[in-house]
Amino acid sequence: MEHLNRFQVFDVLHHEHLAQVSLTLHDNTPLKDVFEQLEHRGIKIKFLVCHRAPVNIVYLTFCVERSNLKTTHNILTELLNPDTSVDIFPDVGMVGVHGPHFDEQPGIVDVMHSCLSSRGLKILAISTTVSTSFFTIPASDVVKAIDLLKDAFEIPQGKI
Amino acid sequence: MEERLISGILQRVNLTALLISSISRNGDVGKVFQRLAQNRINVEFVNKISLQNGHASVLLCVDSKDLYSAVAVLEEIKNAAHELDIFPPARVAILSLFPHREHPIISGIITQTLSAAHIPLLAMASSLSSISCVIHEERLSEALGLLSKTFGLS
Repeated sequence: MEHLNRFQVFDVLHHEHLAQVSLTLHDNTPLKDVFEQLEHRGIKIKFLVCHRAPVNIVYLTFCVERSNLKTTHNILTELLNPDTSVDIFPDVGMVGVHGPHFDEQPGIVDVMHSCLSSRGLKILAISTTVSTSFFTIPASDVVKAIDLLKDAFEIPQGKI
Repeated sequence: MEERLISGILQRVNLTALLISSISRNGDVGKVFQRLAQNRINVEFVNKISLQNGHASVLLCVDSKDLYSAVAVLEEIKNAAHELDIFPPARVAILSLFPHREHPIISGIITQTLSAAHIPLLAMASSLSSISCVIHEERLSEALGLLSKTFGLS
């Protein structure tokens, strides 16, 4: 990996022991009920991406602690239309970088994506907003991904 | 005193959302990021969701000044026989609500508040400390006012 001119970031972040749920919904699905029930059961959402697609479809992917997967699945079964497409990855983790330059410097997501995918890591979902970029990947790849990201980015001690 | 769920809302404007679908999960998504970076186009918001059919759906937000360059990059990738569908761009704004503390109820309140006002929620994504929503720019003031009121910020 080229070490010159690497992007500086505050830190490489990671979280293991997650489960990922992906839903394909009609855009009139009352998501508030799902989120309310998750809150009511004390389930935290560790990662969330959602967007509208044409023909009134909404794609929603989120991660919860793996220990909460069964309860989460029960909530979805109870509240969603039985025809809803539900895709579950029971063993995922997430890795990310947190840095100050995301609004200003092109290429940070490209560096993240290429350093992981070029080594054969399967990227399940991406969320990049404000100053954080998180990728979800199979849990078995998290340790390898952390090493790759620490090599691809510079993490100086102190202020950037 | 009841703790506020949200302590602030950051807004970003002059953005354009580009939705791409039917794109292969890793290879072609990587090509999009690579070509945007090579053209010095900053991507301020990325949502990538893997679909069951082996493809992915990606929503990107770029500065509106970069719209034509970004579309040219996507068209170039498409014309190089990569499988992807590009949908018409939309002028958008992003509202980022801090902090979310991983509480699902915040996403629920956002969806409910915007839906009740018939403000389309084009995308939503979590980060380390915020939950961001993408809406049409012409509805920004209304959405900001409603969310501020709902979360007790105004």
